[in-house]
Amino acid sequence: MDAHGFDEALDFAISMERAAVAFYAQLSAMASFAAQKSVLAEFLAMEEGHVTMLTGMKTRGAVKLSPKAAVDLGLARRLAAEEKPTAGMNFQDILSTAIKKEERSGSLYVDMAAASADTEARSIFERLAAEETRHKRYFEELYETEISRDN
Amino acid sequence: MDIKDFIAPFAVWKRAFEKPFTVKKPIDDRPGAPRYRGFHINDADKCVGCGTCEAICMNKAIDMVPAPGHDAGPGDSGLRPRIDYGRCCWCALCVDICPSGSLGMSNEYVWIDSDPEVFRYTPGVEPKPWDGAELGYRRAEGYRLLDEHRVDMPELHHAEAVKSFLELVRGYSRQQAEKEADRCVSCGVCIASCPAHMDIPGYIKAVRDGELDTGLRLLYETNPFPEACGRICTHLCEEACSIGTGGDPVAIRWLKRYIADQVELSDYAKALPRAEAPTGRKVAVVGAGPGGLSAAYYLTLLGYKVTVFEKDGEAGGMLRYGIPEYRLPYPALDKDIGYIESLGVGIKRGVSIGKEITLAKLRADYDAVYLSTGLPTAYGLEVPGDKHPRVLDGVAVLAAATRGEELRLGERVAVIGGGNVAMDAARTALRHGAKVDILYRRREQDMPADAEEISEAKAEGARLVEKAIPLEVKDAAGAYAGKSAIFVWNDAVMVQKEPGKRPVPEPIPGAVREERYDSIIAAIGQGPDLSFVAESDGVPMKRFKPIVDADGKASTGTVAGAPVFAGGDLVNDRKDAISAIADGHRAAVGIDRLLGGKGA
Amino acid sequence: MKRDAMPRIPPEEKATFDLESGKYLVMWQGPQHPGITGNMSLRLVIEGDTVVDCETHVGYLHRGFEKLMERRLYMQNFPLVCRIAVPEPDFNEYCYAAALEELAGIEIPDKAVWLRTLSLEMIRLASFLMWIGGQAGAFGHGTIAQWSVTMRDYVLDLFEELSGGRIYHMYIIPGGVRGDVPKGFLQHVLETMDIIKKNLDDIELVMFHNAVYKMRAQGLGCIPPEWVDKYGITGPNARAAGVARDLRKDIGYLAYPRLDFQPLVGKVSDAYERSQLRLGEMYQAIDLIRQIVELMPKDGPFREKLPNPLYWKIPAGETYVAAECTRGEYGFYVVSDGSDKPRRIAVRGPSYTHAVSVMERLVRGVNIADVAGLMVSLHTYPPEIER
Repeated sequence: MDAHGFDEALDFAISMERAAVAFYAQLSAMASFAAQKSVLAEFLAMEEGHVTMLTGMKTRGAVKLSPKAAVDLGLARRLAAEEKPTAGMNFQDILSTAIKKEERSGSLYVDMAAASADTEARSIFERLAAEETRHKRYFEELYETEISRDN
Repeated sequence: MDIKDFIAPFAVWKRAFEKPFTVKKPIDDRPGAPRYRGFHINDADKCVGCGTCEAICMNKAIDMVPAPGHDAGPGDSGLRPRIDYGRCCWCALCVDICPSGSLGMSNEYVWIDSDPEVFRYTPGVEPKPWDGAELGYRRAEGYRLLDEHRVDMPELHHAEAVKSFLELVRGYSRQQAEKEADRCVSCGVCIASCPAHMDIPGYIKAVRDGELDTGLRLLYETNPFPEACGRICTHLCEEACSIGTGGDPVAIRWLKRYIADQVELSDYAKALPRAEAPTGRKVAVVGAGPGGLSAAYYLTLLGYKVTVFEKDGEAGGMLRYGIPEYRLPYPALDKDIGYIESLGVGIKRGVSIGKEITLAKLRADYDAVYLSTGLPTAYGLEVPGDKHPRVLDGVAVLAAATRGEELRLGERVAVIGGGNVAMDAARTALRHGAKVDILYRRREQDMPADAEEISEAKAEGARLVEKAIPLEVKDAAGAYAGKSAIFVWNDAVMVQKEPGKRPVPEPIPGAVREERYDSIIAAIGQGPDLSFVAESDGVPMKRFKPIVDADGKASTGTVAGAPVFAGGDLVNDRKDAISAIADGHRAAVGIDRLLGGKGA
Repeated sequence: MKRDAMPRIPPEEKATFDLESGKYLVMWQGPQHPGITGNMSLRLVIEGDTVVDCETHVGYLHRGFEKLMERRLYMQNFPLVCRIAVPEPDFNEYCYAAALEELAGIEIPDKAVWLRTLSLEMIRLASFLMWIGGQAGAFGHGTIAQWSVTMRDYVLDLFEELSGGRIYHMYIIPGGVRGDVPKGFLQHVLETMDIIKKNLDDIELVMFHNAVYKMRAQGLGCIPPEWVDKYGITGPNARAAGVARDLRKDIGYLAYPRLDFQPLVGKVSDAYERSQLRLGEMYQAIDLIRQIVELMPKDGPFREKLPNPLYWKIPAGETYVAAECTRGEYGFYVVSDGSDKPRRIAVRGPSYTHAVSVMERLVRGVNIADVAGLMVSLHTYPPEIER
């Protein structure tokens, strides 16, 4: 994959976020009880927010994202989640799926940045990668406070 | 008369040429002695506003007043002593009795002002020239009016304790209880910190006065689980205790236990209030843990017919299935539950909502439903290999122990986690003769378990491995294959990654260790089982928690059927018995208000 | 004049005077008078410049201490009792604390015993120093007061150093004392004693070898020995009459049995002899203080732990605890009903006898100018009469 210039890079990012929205929608369709649905709806809304944000940046023609990566709590490396969601998934399953997903998106952007010959596109991907670390951080913190309270 | 009698008096003249005794500027030049009892000073940050100074002041010269910059909070009333020098007699009993030792006196004694109002001020809050004075009256070393030492609780020795499931803590005798109760200053700072806002000074006074029936009545006003809470409560009250600011906090929990222990169950009815006339309404409670049964108790007192649904074979919830009997013996718990049942609360044991009966059905058949299902699901280790058959979950191990099942933990047991479940699982394993390692991702001081549980687990022989990040579980090799598992972890260092946040364990590259265990008990955290709540039940959720209002009401009223209330571990973040009990009480009052009861 | 001469009208008899005859004058002395420490008054009937009859009137100083104490916790009374007698608060503190300790069955540590003894002897000295200034002043010798009150202030400096208060020390607390001696304190005590002793020598010279003082004080207000039991006269007033009665010896409380001293006795208890005996007791107090400093244990606990003062209940019972104060037997009668407040406390101050009963009788036949001197020579404090 190769992306050139501002628009293409952002289009790629927007498509990624849309894929994420679709992912949560798919999970939600599978969900069997209210608690699952409310969490998935919350995460879905977050991803929709990212779509809106990136679309807005594209329209304005400027990426306003901090290049500073968030602190990595290192959970993603350890979690065994293999994203095989089931109807009975609990909060831990959903959160580890989300962390893994953000981790994957982040590393994809890192790869994209490395692969980009275009300096502008590279800078955008680097910033997007940083943004994904922040998303991951958000879920990791949730995991720490809600799931792994005792460890 | 002698000639000397006429001459001697003239000897006074010799003094006329001596240096006079008086000084020229007495005010400027004569500081008070180092111990002088001058104007008060108060370290307002150390002061917790307990008002013991006000209580001992014989002249009523001290008033506790709100102090700017000192807000009420856990263990702080937000008040500070204001001293009226029109009444103060400078006896310094306030200094002698001050539990925190914040109050003192400067050696300053001159203060002239034409405005009489200024001689009433709050030391430490309103700045004065003598603030922070080094000299002045302080409590002498080794002298206190209050006893800073707690009466020792007779306990089984650790070497003895680990051999059986006998209760460790033996309980106070009457003499010990009364002596301990005497340490309390009745400041009441503890009440605010107790989730159930128990009348702690009230029942401690009952112990002091030997009026245990009164004590029991005060306990049951806010908490129908005194036997259980008297043993295993997380005792936030003791953390807030003003006596604890300068010594051991009052053993509030043991005194509660003392009251409940001393009154026979058959005498409870005499001491406790009777239920009001039946309202004819029915309430279903899901979960017979402390929260559910508290709601049931208070609803029954208000005249409701309450049915409690319990999925397990016995009532008590985590008190029974999560807490080992050496901490909370079953007869003690049975006494609490027995009294609640004796009031006519029906407990349907072995009935699981969502399986045998749906929430929708409860909402159709009852006038209100209270959900107090707690956190029954253990979260997994979530590392590769965590489905190994020797990876057990801590909650299940403790429940199996309660049911009297053979645990077959083996000789070498690892417990992963630093919470109370981890400590209980470790100590249960120790009592089954295992050699136990507790592996925790952070440091001992970061452990969420109660400090005493940690120290007792260690004293009983558990080995604590700190800063161990779980990496993987592998099957053991050779003859152990399938019977033991290898736990792999990475040693970590604590790194302060972001200022203001707690340090994060960072794996040390290459420092990977492994150990073979017969059982690996995961106790990293627990979650709710909310699979029985359908969207059609109209209970809004956020992150696997029902959203409740100030009354504990969870349903929004948009769907037909009885309103749903929720509380306990399911909802609150404290995740302890006393919070669940408080939630249950709150929901009972809320349900009564909603259904138009007397309290409405 | 014979030093033990009795007044013309026998003290035991009630005399009647025809006040309409124009021969007599009724005059009130007090309640505000420099010769009376505190507020009480004498209603004098005067013939010429001689007092022929006297009636003592009290009631100007009633503060209701005993009643107040019934409404306060035992520990809250501790700062209150010292205020009963201003110049000698420590005897109140001691008697109150000792009575509670006796009722509650509390043994105080040895160090506290010594520190209490030290405190009581220091205040004895301070109180006498104030008295001697008054005694000399009442006979027109103002200089003595200038010296002695300064010396008293030196003792108060010591109290300030020890307890944090000059007048109300609040040092002797139920259970012991409130603190050990500060660093260097005992050295200060010894130095101060040297200064005071030197000063007492001067006082002795100019006051007791003084023709005026002798002429006015000798033979004034002579207490016959047979009155001692009859009126309950105690302290130097009784000892000057030759009755060797001293509670420090007779009861032997605190550390007194371990100190080397003998009660001083006189022969004729007139104003002169009484003041001379008190001077002797001042020297004795200095000696006792030096002994205490030497014998007192250097360390150890100074207070026994008591129950929480907010709820301290004392078993039902009653007791009377007495101590030898500068004026005689000072006592606290305490009744407990088992609650956290005293049921009844009665304070016995020796001044009741000395200033009310004895004064009334001694003053007959005395020149009006000597009334104040006589009163001071009995060393009375109206505050302890009324409480």
